[in-house]
Amino acid sequence: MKKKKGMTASQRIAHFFKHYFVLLLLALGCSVLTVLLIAFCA
Amino acid sequence: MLDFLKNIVNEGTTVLVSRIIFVLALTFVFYLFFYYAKKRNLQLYTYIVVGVIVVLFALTFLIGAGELRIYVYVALILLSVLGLMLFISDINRHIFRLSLKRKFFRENLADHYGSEDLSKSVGEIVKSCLRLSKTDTGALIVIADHMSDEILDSGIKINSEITAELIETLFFPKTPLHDGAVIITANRVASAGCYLPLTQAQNLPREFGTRHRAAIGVAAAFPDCTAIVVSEETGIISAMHDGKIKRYLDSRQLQDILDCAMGLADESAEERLWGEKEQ
Repeated sequence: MKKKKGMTASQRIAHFFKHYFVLLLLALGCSVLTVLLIAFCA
Repeated sequence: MLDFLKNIVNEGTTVLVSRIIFVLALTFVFYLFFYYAKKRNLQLYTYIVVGVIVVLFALTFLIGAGELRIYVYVALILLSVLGLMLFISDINRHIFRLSLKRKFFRENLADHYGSEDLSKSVGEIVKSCLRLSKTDTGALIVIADHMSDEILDSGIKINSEITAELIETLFFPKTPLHDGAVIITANRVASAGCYLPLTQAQNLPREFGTRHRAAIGVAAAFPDCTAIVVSEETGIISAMHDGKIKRYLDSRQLQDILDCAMGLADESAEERLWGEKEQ
């Protein structure tokens, strides 16, 4: 039933940076540390 | 530790590539954890996870892996189990919502209905809700582009044109179907007397009963669905959409909400009404 227009690509990217980029950086940092930790302990 | 890091760089390309893939996969898992923690306002868990990993890494760097090996493994396993336990329901719901994004199918469906037919249906729903509100008759109407077969099959299939008289009859007290939800899909009354998933949220107003909880539950589970509730106790008309609630609706507001739900309004009107859409 809906006749909606989606967000444009630039809006999506802006939205992502505004809300989730810090989380992504944090996740990347944690995963690098974890992999180093596992490899170092193995 | 520094020698170890040098060894990693000096190892072959295949090993390096496989490690990078592993890091990316792990990043995705951590991202999901932080994302759901943020959504559920549980940032404390984010701080705990980051804190534990940084402390373990610092200790291993300073003391050496030999002493700490067992503690590192136990801590990592505990963190994984904690993440899985906390957010398994969110992950399930997200996967379910992704599976509903059959965009092309829905857009083709929209072409079958003219604006006049949809406006007429909106008028009929508004009329029925106002009458039900005046007589303090409880009602739960769900308007969705697409509804799961489990929910549709939990009631009785109607597949009828939308009329105020039909909706009022379906919610007439002491009739077999009055206690469930009426589902409207594809500009038809698809099913009545349906059972919906209840929300487990704790921070809801006291006067919200099972009907309201079912409306919030279905609106959270189905991203494009709108649920309209008429309270049996107060006659107040409320609407739920994508985890958001609007209460004390008059006929004008109800019409605007139904216009959005039936696809008569564009996305900017929907954003004005409900705020920014969740991704």
